[in-house]
Amino acid sequence: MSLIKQEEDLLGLWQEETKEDETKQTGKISLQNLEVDIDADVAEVVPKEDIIPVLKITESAPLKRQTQLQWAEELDISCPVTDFEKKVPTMAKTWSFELDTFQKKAILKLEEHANVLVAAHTSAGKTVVAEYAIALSKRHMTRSIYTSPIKALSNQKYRDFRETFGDVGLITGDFQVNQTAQCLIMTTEILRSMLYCGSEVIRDLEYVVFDEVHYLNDSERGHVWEEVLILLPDHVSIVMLSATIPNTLDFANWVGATKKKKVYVVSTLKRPVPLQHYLYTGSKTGLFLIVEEAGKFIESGYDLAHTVKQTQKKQKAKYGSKEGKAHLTPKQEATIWTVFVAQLRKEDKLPAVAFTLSRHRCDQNARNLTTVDLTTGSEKSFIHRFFNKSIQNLKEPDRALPQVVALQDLLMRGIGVHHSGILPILKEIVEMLFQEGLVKLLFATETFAMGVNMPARTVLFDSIKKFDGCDVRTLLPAEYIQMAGRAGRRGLDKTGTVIIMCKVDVPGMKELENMMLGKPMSLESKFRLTYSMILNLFRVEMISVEGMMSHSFKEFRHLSQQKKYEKELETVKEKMKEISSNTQQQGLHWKSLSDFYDMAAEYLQLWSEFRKEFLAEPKYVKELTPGRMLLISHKEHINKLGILLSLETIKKDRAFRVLVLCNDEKTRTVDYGDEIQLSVASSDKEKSEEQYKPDPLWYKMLGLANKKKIFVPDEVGGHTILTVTTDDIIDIVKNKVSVDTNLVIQDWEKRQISRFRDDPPGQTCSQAVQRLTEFTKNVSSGTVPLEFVGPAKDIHLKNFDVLQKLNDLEQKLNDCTSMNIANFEQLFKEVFRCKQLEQKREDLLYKKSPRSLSLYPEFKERVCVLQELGYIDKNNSVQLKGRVACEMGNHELMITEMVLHCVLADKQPAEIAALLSCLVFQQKRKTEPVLTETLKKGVRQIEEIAKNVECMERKYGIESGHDKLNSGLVEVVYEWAQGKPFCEIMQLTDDVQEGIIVRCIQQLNETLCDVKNAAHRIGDPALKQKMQEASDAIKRDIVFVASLYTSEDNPKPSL
Amino acid sequence: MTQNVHIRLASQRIDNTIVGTSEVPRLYTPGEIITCRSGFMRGHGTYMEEDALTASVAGVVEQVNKLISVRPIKNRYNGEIGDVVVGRITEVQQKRWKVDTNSRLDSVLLLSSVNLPGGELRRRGTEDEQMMRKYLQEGDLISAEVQKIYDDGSLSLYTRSLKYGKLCQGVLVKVFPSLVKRRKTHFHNLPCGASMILGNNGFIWICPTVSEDEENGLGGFTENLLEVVPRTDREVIARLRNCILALANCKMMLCDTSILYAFEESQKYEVLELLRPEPMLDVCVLTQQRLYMQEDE
Repeated sequence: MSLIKQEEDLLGLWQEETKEDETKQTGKISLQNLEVDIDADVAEVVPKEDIIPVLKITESAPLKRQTQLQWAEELDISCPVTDFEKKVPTMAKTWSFELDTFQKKAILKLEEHANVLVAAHTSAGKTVVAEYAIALSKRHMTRSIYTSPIKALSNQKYRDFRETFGDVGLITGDFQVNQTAQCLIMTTEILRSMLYCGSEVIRDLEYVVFDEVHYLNDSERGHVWEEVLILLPDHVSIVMLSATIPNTLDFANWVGATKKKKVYVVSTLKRPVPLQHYLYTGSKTGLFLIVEEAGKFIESGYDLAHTVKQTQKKQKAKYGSKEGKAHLTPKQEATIWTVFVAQLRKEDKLPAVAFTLSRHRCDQNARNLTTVDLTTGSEKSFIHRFFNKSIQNLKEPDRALPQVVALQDLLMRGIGVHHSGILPILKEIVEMLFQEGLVKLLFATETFAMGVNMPARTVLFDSIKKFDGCDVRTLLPAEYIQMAGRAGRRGLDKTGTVIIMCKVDVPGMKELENMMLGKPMSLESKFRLTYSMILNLFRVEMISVEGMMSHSFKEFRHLSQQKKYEKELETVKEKMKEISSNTQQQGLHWKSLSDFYDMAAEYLQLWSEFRKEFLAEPKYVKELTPGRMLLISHKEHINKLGILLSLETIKKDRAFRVLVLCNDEKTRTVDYGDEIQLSVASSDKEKSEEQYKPDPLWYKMLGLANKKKIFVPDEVGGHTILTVTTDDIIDIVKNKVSVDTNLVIQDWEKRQISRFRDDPPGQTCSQAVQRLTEFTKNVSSGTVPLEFVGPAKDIHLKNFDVLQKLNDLEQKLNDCTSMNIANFEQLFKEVFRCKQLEQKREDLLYKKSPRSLSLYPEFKERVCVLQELGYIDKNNSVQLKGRVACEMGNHELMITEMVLHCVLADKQPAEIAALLSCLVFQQKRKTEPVLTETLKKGVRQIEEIAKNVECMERKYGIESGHDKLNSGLVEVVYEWAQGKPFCEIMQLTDDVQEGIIVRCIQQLNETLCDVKNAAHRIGDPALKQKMQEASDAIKRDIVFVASLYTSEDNPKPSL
Repeated sequence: MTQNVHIRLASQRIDNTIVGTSEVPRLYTPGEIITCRSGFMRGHGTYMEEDALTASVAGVVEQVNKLISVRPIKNRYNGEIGDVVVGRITEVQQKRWKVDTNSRLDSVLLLSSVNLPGGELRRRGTEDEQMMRKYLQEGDLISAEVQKIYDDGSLSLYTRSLKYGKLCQGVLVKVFPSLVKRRKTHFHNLPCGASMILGNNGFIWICPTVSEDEENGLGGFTENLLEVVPRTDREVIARLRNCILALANCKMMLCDTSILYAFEESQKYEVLELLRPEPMLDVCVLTQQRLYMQEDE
């Protein structure tokens, strides 16, 4: 039975089901609670009859969610396409079943050659859209590329598409077939390198399909997707398939803006097969439903499970078993699983996938089930035949590998294991048998959830905790949804069952609810700069690194604001023109005034930066007590003496309430900081800008200009209380006034209430005002000298420099004569305005330039490293080393340094391969491998180079992102390259699993090829020869056995 | 019509070397041993003979870390990925053109790697193959970028964007490839009123400046042989050509700045006079001085 046929059947079955669903639905709450209102619309729009008048659509209530942005539009899939046949008379590809609305909508847009983003639930039928795009390109005699994040996925798609389309090619790191085909399947990394080197494949490219585009979130590889999306030529149509993500529209908008072409978003509203989530506490008690089909959390179910577990525990304690144990003994585990599997079988819940989030536990669980047998006799014989046929390409000793034998035994009983430690070929056998329904119970890690359509009836979670490299944590909603989504086969199961096993304890309710119903993670940019990107872009004129950075999803906001900045810049420039034409005539004092401005601006800048620090000196803190006289300058209150009333804290900053004198009754308004000023400014911003907006800076400068003059009121009695910050305090006067400051504040505050406005000030208050007035008058007439509290003696050295500078500037300002010019204020106003505009222009120019990009500093740093290491010259032209580095797929700097420092050239091929494994292998090992002298020396040399590179990076302030060198597999690879059989090298490692070794050697081969090309580039044929030999030596047997998906004599499983 | 003919004796030829600031580097001759020490890698222009690294060409030794190579004093063009080249079509073959780019082997321009008139997206078909000679035929000049280098050292070219393509009215100047400075951009619209493509392969194309919006519609394949280029433009182009030849004669590096300086310094001469050795040397010395001044700044 061909798999694709089966899939089509499933699609067809599901189609009928949805139709029923749609008509049956009467405002039922959908699974996804965030889309509740849309579902309600469905119910309204879709009438019971089959004929749908088009006009009725307009009556539907508008969707509450935003559905349109500048470059993205969400298509409303709640209204069906009625004239699909008319719009697409001859489809490029037809299916045996009726298409769903979302598929039709997407296909319509594909026909229009538009970009499409399909965000649909697992197994909703996204593949249909991808297939249609490929079919279209075939009809147009152009090319299409299908990219997927994982090599295994590419292989599976290759088999599927080859059956559908015939002319299909596959390009992965270590396997190429039919590279000139019209439809090419490749990993995203391959597509990126094709774009960088401008491969002719791109030339007639019409459609690119990105499967699982939410991989953009991957911290390791996500940036590759972004690079590819930026680099793709504009005429290419982009088809993106993704799981449901909250910010689909934002992401689509970015893609649209980057490509200058609208992106249409199609998303499904619910899963085709709804899910039921259960808790399992033990065989006697059974399952507790905690989340039902519509996505509602059932608390009663949870509570029940919780109590049951508690009583169980108590009982156990009674029987004397230790309480509160976090782990069960393997024997206990085995019992739990055996009983549980039997129960599942009885309840007809198989096939099931049991997600066990560690490789070790996967193996152990599978091994524990020695007594379980889930297959019938005929199934057994088929599995036997299929297994033997699949491994017939292996060598005799490889077929006897412990893992192969063990897995065969498990598979015969209907149990499978799938994780990265399993040999790739065995993984494929497991996948194929699983798809045929012959694996009834599969123990798998998270990687299995990334695969193509491989659903089961039931998904089990052995645990909901995961070790993510640094920490054990609960699964994220996105991860949980991805895995749980494997439950429920379309057309076969009515609902999918998800069961969480609570072996020791029931997880917290909040924890569960959050994990099950929480929002999946938003797509976030993982864009980053790599040396290879910089070098690749430096060598061609196509796009600059700055351009690349500014087009990234990370800087999207920056990009979208460019237009606004441009407009602002335009107005600023216009205004400047206006002013300069007006002021040119009276330019007599222009120069001296603008000099004054520059000095004052610098002074104030320094002042405000360090004033806070200065006033935090213990000496000043001691002096700053209520009653202290201060010289302040705050807004229009310039150079006034005041009495400190109280100290407050506003937004972590110290603030001071100060009593000052004033002239006008009008200024007696409450002045709590900037609040009033701001609210006015924001309400009629346009107006105040038109006239002249008083700027705090303006007053500060006026204050500086009239430094020696202290404000003296014209009349007695006018006063107000200000709230000032540290940089408003010019100095602290030695004198102190003894009044009850609290009383003054209370009195003044009372009079701010309109009822008491006309009351005369209280006695304490008027006394204080009196004192202040007297002092002010005495000081200004010179009868009393104004003395300030001197600076503390033990000022920090760092601050001392600043102080020195401030003093210098102050001296200069004092020497400045410009404020003696008659009409100073008016003339200076012009200068001030002009200077402010200039400032703004500079600011805007900066914001517009790439310098304001968040990654720009890092870019400069990386360029410095490359220059210093000789990869590029000072004009950023790529040099020989840079060209060598461009050949590298990864670790570009390390490998280039290794090659050019002659670490590899004097070694034997096997040694070269072994040494390069340092860069590829990642797992930690418990035991130290045994190495020969040359290898030890080589490892030392590599470590030295790594240290040098790291030093260089640190010198320029780059945090080293390199993986630690790992010599754990050097010995293994060396022996493998020497020709030892796989079973023997497996004995060298007890803690590294077969699959990991195979993958490492496969990756190593890619690196070897890169180095081979590099050797050719630098003109060393001997090294090239060696690399070829090394590659040939490791490319053999089980490590490089052809994938079952890609081999021509594909032994398709069928009963 | 009068003609000036300058013929001079060999002894009267002027020395056109401009004394640079740096010392004359040590030149190695083929067969000369560079080093006998081990621990070095052999690069281009070297070979191993009885454990001694030996030069296989005459030139200067260059060392990058442990890699030793000899750069020949005179050689044909060695392409690098990303280089801009100007070349002449020599052959029309199946789905590809052969292009003379001053390298050892003719370069290849695949039909699938050119922009064809009428659309960015090429449909696959036999029609294109039959039309190949219509697009580019033997003797046509093109500008292109090096896309990749085959194992035998020959280059694969492509016209990645619309600024590449067929070259129509203008002047081709050939100089040593090593004299062209590698820069970020090799297309220049000079302020003096002409455009220039400084091919990395030593082929330099000078043509009248085409305004940008006109250029966009072309796709690099339209011919405007009937359009008459005004005399002033032609004079500018001729002067540029002579300046480039003068600079090349004095072994000065060619880039937009040096050419522009030379152009400005040559104003005191007639275009025609620039073909005589003395003005050539004069222009070059003045240009050199200006370049130094600029460097000092």
